Amino acid sequence: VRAALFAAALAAGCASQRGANVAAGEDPIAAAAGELLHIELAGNPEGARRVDCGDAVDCVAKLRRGAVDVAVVERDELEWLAPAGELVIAAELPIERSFALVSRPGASLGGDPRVAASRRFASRARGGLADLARAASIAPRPQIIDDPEARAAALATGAVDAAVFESWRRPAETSVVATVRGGRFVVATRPDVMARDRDRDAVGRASGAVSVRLEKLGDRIWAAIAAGVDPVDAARALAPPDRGPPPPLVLAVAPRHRDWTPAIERALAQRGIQVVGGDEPAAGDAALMLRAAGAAPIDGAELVAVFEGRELPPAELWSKTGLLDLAEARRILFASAHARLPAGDRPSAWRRLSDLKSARPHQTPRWLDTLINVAVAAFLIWLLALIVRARRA
Amino acid sequence: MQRRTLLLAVTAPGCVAVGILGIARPSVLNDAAGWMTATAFSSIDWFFMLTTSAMLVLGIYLAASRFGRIRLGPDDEKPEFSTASWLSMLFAAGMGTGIMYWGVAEPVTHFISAPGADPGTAAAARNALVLTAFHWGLHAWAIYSLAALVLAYYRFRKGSSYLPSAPIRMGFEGRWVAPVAFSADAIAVLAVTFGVAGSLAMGIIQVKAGVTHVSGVALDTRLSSAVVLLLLFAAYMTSAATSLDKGIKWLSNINMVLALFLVGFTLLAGPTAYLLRTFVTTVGDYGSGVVDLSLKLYPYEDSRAWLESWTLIYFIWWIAWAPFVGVFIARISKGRTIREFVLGVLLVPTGFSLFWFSVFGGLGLFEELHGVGGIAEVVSADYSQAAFTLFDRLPMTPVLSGIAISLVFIFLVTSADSATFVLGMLTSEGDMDPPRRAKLMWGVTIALLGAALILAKAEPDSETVEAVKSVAVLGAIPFTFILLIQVAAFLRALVRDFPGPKS
Repeated sequence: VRAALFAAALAAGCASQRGANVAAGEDPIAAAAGELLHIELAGNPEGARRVDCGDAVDCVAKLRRGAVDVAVVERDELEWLAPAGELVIAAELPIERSFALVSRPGASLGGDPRVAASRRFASRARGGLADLARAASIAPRPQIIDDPEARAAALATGAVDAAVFESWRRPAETSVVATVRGGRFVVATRPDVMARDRDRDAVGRASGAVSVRLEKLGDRIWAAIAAGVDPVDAARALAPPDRGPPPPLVLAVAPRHRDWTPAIERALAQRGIQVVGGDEPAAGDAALMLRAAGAAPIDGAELVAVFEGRELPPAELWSKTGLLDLAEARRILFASAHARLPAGDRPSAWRRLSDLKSARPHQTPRWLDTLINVAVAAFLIWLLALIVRARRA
Repeated sequence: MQRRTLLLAVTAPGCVAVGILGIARPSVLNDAAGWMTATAFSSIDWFFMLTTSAMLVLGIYLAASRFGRIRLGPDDEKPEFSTASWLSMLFAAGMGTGIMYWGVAEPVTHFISAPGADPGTAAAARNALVLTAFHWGLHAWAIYSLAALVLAYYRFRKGSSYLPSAPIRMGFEGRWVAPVAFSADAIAVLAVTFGVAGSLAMGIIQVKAGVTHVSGVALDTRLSSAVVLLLLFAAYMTSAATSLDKGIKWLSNINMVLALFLVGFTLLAGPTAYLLRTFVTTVGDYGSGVVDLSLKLYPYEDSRAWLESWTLIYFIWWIAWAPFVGVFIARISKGRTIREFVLGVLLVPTGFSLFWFSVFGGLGLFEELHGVGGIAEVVSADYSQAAFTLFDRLPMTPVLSGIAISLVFIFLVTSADSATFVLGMLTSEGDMDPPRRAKLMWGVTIALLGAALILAKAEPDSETVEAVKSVAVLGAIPFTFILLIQVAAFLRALVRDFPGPKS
């Protein structure tokens, strides 16, 4: 019924805002592409549906019936499955075997921003079949298993190839392939996986199959990023529906300055900058994100880091992670930090953030503090004496 | 010089000077008030926390002990008002501009930034409502109940006036009594004036925010603040000058109905079961956590700044209003026993506050945790917009926003009108029918102080709110000591008037 209603809506030219149904055949590549397309087109992944079909013939049949809106079919097959003009190619996936995203002419999603997104994805997937397949296995949200023991069991039984643990809870027989949040979390895998794929980075990227449940959106995004998902994809896939992807701004604050974070966040919010990301990621995390972003500001991203109270520019701290050289870190930080601040604030942008650190508890001079306390204590003793004297009288 | 003349000579110029300073040099006033409150809080936060908690313990002890049977009035005195009317009046006393202003803003603010839980998590939501309940619950009403109990006891059993100095004069002997008693009246005047002016300023911020939100016209000029203030001034001065007591009572009743409608509608139009669950959970969490919170000063954590700008400010604010609310509660409680009095004053308004915050705050938190969010962002930028943003997500938005604006406006009018009466009474040696010129003078003074606070910036922001808070509690800090001396006098009187079996 839902598919019929959906098809009717499409036929009327009004594609549902909640997402589109996608068909993808059993072929692992098509399935992977379908999964990614499902994420890309859906906006709200839970509102859309990926429909498995037996093979390309089945996919096209479903497309013709209106049971799905888009199907992933190999271009070679398409030529003999459907007469020219019957189906429209919405986008192409130029990977090992050329795949096409196909829709009905009446249900063409042309002009829909979701198709634009899929095109962008299609071009991004140019990296090759292996990357696509690996990405497909992690894109539909990390599988969430709250209980660390169940997570360990899933890893041990081969249900997943990697998992994220708090570092002290990592099963002894596993190997660490990546660290998250300055070492508080680690991505661990089994020895056989390590033997199968000696590329630690690749395993690390594929590790989003199991993640810890972290309450906040920012944390979920961190987890996905740590698992190798592109930050933009992670933000888009994990953002709650209707809010749209949050601007990928990172605010990094050293743990002991955590009490400043709300003040800094408020100040940034007043400038129209939304903050996502953990509230106390260590330098390594921030660097990880930078590296994931290709060590360059990701489209429209703001990267803001505030570390320690010293005069040390954040860029120098970033460079100490060893992942970026100083000049590059400075370029990224300052270019991004100044990008959205009002012109008048630019020269002192960092100083203004530093000023917020002065929002500490008021410090009374020691002598005055002592004097006030002695006076109040004397008052209380006097008061007590008044009451006790009345009781005796 | 007559005592009343001396009192006026001391207090009125002080208030006017602060008002003029606030208008001429707002930054100087803000810095000075901020420094004084910060110094007091950072040095003797333990004293303020201990005082308010001790008030609660003492109230419970009085209700539970043999003193609980003592009647506020002659032993055969019947209560002046029926229990239902009395409870309803206490319920009305529990409402005010504050619950409208902070109903959504405070829980959501604690949700994104407060000690006790990681911000933005489910635990933070739970923690946020407990902290809000702590600020608006038993401790606030313990302060009011003790302040009112002392006045009521001396008024109805010993025939004194409602002046804060009366218990001190009657309870102690010695050369120190006269100057301390005089100071008690003077400090009470300052506490009420600054406290009500602070509430007036905060109410104006919210009325402006509401009108801006509903109409879309940005009221971001000093002129708009001045216009709202003038309207309020005209309303409460007309009432004070023409003795429109009945009109004010009528407005108060209307307000109570509107507030009940607002909270009831929000409960029904929002996620009803969720909000009721929130209420029950908050009652439980608050009940089990109140002892811990009562003595928590975060000496080992970096949460002192938070404590000073929230918990301590609230407790001192309640003390600022104590001479004012105390007189009201005392006046309506003739003939009640101490047990009835303490339990009624502690439980009824606290229960209402918890319910109010569970509904409005709970809905704000629901939006953050399960809805489309965005409330926290609004609160971060401007507390006063929080409630109106939430109303946008309920049916009948314009009606709800209109009711909220009316509520704030009427609360302000009735509060300021009552304040002019109490100040007139305080500066007329306890005359329960104070001269009209005294009421007018205090009405002008409150408006002047309100103007000083609100006109400092064209568009009031969080800094303005902080400055308003600092000034509002300025008079209350010394009044804390007066309140303790009053309570000591009361305890002495109890022990002397009702010696136990052993004595």
